[in-house]
Amino acid sequence: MTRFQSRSDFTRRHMLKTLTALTAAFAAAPRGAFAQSGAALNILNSNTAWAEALTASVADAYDSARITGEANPYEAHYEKLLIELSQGSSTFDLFTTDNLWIRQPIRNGWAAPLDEIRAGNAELPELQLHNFAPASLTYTEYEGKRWGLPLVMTTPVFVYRKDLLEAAGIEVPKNWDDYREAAAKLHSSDVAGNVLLLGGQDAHMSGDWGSRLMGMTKIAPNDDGVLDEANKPVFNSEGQGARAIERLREVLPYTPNGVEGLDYAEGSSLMQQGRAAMMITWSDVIVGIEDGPMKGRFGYTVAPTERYEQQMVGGWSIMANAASGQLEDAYRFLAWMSEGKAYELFREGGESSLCLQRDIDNPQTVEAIPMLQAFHDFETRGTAPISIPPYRLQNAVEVQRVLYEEILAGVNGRKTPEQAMADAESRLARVIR
Amino acid sequence: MASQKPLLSRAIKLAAAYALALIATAFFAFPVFWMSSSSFKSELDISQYPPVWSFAPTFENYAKLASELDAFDAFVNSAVIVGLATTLAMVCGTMAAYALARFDVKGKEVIAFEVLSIRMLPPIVSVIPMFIIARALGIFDTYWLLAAAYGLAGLPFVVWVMRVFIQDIPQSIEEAAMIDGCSRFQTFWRVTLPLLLPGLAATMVIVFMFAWNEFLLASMLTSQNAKTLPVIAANAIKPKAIAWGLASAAGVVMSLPVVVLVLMMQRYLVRGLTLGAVKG
Repeated sequence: MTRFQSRSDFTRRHMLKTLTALTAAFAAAPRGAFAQSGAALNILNSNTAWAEALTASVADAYDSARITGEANPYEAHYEKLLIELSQGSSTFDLFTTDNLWIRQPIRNGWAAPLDEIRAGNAELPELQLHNFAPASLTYTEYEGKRWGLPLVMTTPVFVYRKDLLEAAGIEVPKNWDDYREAAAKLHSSDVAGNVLLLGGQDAHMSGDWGSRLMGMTKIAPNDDGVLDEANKPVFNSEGQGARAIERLREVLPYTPNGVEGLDYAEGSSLMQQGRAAMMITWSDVIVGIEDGPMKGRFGYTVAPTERYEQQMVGGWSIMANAASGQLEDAYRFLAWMSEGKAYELFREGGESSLCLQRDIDNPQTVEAIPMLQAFHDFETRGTAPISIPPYRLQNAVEVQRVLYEEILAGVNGRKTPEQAMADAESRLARVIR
Repeated sequence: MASQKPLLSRAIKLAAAYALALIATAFFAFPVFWMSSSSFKSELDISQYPPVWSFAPTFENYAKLASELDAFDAFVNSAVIVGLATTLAMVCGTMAAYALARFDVKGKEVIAFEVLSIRMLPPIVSVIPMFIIARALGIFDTYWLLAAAYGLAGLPFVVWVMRVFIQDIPQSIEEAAMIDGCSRFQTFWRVTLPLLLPGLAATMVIVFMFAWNEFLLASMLTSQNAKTLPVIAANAIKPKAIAWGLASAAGVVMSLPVVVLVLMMQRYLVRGLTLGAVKG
């Protein structure tokens, strides 16, 4: 018995020593030893459908450099973008950004203007900008310079269960009164009437509140509905901000249990599982719902409105990191992307928030991707596109956080909607810069 | 009759105790069972409501985990980084604890407090300085950076816990060894360390678990080469809907090494966790 114990200890000690030696040897080995030769471009990436295609099928289709990327969940993506770019790190040659964050890298000098890269080498090809939907190009243009390319063009989409609406004899709601009545009628213990995303800063501020705010007052050409051209708050100038909160409170009783914690992913999953009948959310975060048991039962259109047909059009963009040592290679990749093949691969990869004009114009594409109907309804309903608020600010995320906190306080009853909006205005006066 | 009553009462108490134990076990084991079973469900089965209990098992999620999220590489990275970090924390921490417990070091309470102060900083505060240091040293996105960070994070815990374990060992045993001719190091190695095995095992498992599950530093201080499993697992939650199957498979893969380690160390763990509970 004693001998067995002793032998067992000896073996364990040897095993641990061997493991430690192997671990140290493995850690000391150069990791890039097996990397392919030639140019390699690394992309700070998201984890949506287009983002997955960008480092898979798009990377495979591009011959001139090896494309790698790092997928990140939404919040982690922003944090990483801030840390990497603010420190002048060259880990990433290209970075993708939500258009909400876009002014921060541009105005801080973290992004390289594409025109200037091309000016340095006349042999670089021209960007084929005519291939893109004009509305998608606005975010990457600033002070007469082109800073990047659009990746997707998104809008808040009204997703509804066609079968449930038909069974209840309800027309697809086009205004918030009809939406509230539909939510009340469709709500049951099994299926929630609608979903709100109270647990996500971007989801609740823009998807829930913003989509309601947009139709309440006539928005001036250079306003975004929240701030005017001079970045002065206008979101409650006629009481519309408080009214949008009231609209959210009206449908709060018809939401699923645990609504306080729902963000994009949870909301989409509830729709996918058939546990909710209606939802307003951004078009690029809802594509997964067709993978579940309710496939084919969803309808998509532009969000309901109050008085004016206006809705946000946002999206994601790709830009070159000013600290990259391979700016010309990064430009070449973007120029190749602008030819259109990459965007077709996004679509084939399941993305439906398209920005390639020929895809949007193609009736067969619309037939194959039902969600595109929402973008087409912009034309039939005469919906005017509005920039996502408050993207013009360098600290857009901080401003959005303040708005989110106050909107949430109004929605869950900790403050009256009027008080929440008044507090938001006074807090924003200190934060906007 | 009189002797049957206590028997019946004891049987009822025993049955109630077993029932309670079974309910408690089921309560804690159910999430693990659900995660494991979900990892073998297809996307369609997993999104069914009400949930399906009977389904055709598939390895699709594990295949996706390996092919789409490069989980195998991340697993190797996690194993190497956490292995190095745990070794570093245990070796340095135990020796520091021994010094603090046995030697008459001037201001040792201050030293012990200073060691603990590393744990007082919220990890997010250290991310940017560590990022800058890592870039300056050229160790960003390498094993060394995370191994050092996790090793340092685990060090205070090891020092404080092992110090108590060492203090519990009678000093006279070491003195006897030294009278018999052992040097201080030989005494530590041949006498003290074997007696510390239960404490070492318990401490090591906890340091290992902290490092194995750490997300923030792993997310911010790595890119392509040193990504660990928690970062990969977080990517299973996609904004377009949660990939429940993928997330469950990632959960299983992440839990397995910890479970195996705990089972391997079980013999020592029970002793280690209860050592010093009752003072003689």
